[in-house]
Amino acid sequence: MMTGSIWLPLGSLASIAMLVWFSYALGFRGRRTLSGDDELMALTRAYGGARDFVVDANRASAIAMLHDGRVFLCKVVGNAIVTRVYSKDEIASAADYRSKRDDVRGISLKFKAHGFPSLKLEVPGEVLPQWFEDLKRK
Amino acid sequence: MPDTPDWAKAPILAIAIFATIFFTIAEMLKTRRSNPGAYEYRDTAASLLMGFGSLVAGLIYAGAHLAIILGAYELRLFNIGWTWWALIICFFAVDLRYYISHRLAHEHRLWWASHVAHHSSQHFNLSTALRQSWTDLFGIGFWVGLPLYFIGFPPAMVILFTGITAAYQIWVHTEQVKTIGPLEWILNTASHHRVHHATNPQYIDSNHGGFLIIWDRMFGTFVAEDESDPCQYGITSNLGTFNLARIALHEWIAMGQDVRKAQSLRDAFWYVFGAPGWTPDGSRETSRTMKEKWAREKWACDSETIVPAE
Repeated sequence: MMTGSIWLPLGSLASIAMLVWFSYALGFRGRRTLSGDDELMALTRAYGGARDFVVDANRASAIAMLHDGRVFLCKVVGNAIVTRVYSKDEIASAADYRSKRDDVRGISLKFKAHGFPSLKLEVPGEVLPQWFEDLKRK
Repeated sequence: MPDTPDWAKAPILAIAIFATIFFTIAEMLKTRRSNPGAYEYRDTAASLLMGFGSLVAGLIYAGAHLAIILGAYELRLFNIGWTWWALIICFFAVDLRYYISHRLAHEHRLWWASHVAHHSSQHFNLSTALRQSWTDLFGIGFWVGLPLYFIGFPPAMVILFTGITAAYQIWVHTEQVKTIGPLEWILNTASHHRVHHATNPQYIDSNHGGFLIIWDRMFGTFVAEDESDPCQYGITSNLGTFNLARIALHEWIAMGQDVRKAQSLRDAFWYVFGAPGWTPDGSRETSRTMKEKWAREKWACDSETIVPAE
């Protein structure tokens, strides 16, 4: 009985490891990136469009300031794109930091929602937009 | 359960798990070239590990569930044995129970908080079938099933059909089967279940059936797959993480945060028992408001294209 109860979870975990390895080996590795500024603008259109945005140097995430003052977030998760629109009140913290790369600046946002907890970007250039500075001071 | 016939002791879920592993590999091989986006290894890992967590949680709950079941059966109204007519009625009753509990799980936040984990993948493949809740102790399915034991259906019979319904539903999580002909009228199929997992406004909160689709057709929740509106899978606010604890608990935490900031007991009640997305000021969308908006836009669009008769 005891042996059986051990084999069930062990067998399940071994099967899971085998299937995940198989999906990785077959090339299901999620190479999706944001194709360009046009794609980001198209994504924000449903929310009235963006007045400004910053895109990650690796095109894995982006933040846009919408015309109505809300913040549009875009993140590549696996091979899918996830977007959220938050008011400034729903942002827990915003910070910027020096990246290891000289040509980019790091941005980090944390949110109150547990289903979309954080977003990190490496933005080309030294100067960050004024609206991001405002988010940091919030 | 000494009166249970031997044939009813078949390890249905174990057979289903082995079949799922086999068909998952087959689906990966088939979609590898035709649809390289069908699987994603981290999404697959999250789905399978959610299934593992659900299995462990189920084993933990099993004792409590079994005690409640046997308690209810002790108070039974009738002594229903393993007769052919009891099997037929029990099959339909268990499937109707599944429809009711599944519909409640979509329409009320308390139970959606548990069920949302199953819908949280933006992919739709056989691994998605195993992405199950860890918090089913608080889910609605078990409680909706209790009247069957009070009536007097043998617990093993109800558990058998519950297992069959659960095992049947694994295969419907695929894009590889388009339709299965006239059986689409009666059975829950891959086509119907694709619609169920879609977030397109016209599809949302439809096709809750387990084995049979007849309940959706009877109670007005059936929506057919429309090739001109391809299914967009996931939830209306998709998750930005593969973290298992966040997948399992994010809606419970969000509900708790809403209840904490509620201005009145009435608001707190509706944050828990209202539709997912309910707010006192209507600032968030519910499935009903999304469907109404979609219908209005479609009506306006259709009206523009109508050419008045000469």
